[in-house]
Amino acid sequence: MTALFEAKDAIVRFYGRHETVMNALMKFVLALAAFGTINLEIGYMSRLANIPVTLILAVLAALLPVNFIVFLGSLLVVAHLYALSLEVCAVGAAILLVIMLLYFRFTPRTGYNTVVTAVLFRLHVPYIMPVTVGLLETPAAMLSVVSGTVIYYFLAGVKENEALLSASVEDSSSVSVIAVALKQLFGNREMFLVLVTFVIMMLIIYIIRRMSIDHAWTIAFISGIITEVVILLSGYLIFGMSDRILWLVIGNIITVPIAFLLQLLFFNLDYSRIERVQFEDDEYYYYVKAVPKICMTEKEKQVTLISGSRDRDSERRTISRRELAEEMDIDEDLLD
Amino acid sequence: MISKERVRHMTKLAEYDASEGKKYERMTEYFRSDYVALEMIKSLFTGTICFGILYMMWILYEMETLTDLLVVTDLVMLAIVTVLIYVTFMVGYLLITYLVYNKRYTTGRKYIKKYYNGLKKVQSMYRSEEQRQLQDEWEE
Repeated sequence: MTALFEAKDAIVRFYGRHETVMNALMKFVLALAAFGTINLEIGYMSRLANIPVTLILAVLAALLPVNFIVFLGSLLVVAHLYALSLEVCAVGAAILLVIMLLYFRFTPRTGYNTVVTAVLFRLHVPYIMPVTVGLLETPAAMLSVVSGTVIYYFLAGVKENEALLSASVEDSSSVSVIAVALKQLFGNREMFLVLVTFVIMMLIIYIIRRMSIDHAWTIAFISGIITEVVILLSGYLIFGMSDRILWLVIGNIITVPIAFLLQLLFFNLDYSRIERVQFEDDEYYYYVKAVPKICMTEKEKQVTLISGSRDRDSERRTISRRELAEEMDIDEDLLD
Repeated sequence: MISKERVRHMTKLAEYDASEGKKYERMTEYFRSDYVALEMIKSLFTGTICFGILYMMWILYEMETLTDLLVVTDLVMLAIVTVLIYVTFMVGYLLITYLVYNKRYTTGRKYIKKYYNGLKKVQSMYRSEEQRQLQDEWEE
């Protein structure tokens, strides 16, 4: 356990020292994953769905504030849907607009959660997101997972029905194309099941981890995951979607160690970092570099066990009367 | 001579300015009622637009059943139901807006109060430094 905490400390310190670079790198990786997934899954506009464009967009996103990943991703999705058909594009843009208006108005800061949720859905492990948000964020951030889920299921539905939705189909009218596109949203029972499950899961995790009980975090995510598995399993069985059960099990098996890792990394996180600030008064300009004092144990920390075997032996040993009397420096007869 | 203690306090204030300060800036400019009211007016617009989009989507989705429905019921009835749904939606949305921004204002003001206390402390430090300087000059 000590080794793990030392590793955590090393990671936190490394991150603190190279914060600017690490942030840009994380944004780049996230953007690459997001744009790559979009291009692979619904890359209908071939001019955009290639590696150079994906890379350029990811570099751009790494340099801009984090919410530009959401913005650029939305533009990319709309462009690809436009290549598929105008009607689908209109529906997709409308959904994205509703999400932006309803959600980003309240908590624009957690926009990247939306992107991560959608990407994790594609990797079959979306259960990581409700655990993360429940453990680390405020209830308002739950909306980010909800919107990520909606976006994923809409796009997955579009992909499944691309033949039906494509502009090249002559005999389909605009209204019927829109109806099919909307059916991915309003008529998608699986999506509603997952949404309800995730919201319940996040609430459970959030409420329990804030309780003042021992091991609140562990109890929180374990009960959250159990609830989620039970609801989703019964839901899939009721709706007759038993093919989803395998990935449900695998996904949750992957989620549990990640939840433990999150707890290790972020529980009681003392994230102090080097701060550079500047200010002035009437006489001076101050350029202050505030370096946090490192308080964590280094490798040289030594643990001494107090209850060693030698001590236990001496406890058990019976002392004779003579020895006791000798030690106390009194006459043996006085001990009667 | 620069007072180390004062610089420490000033650094904390500058750090706040650079991070949370921007977030809570607007709460220094408005009373609670004005701040929340302004956000609710914004919500009125965004909520209405969202409702419009969602409602249009729903109509397009239910196009076929709706045409059957319209034969049976009249348009007035549909309009009344629509208005009712709109009002319920907006009341819910505005209530959430009210709760969120009311709480945000409370939290924000707490931070701002802390910040002002810090400013006062720095100011009093300056004053005592000045007095000390004057005293030194007198003694000389």
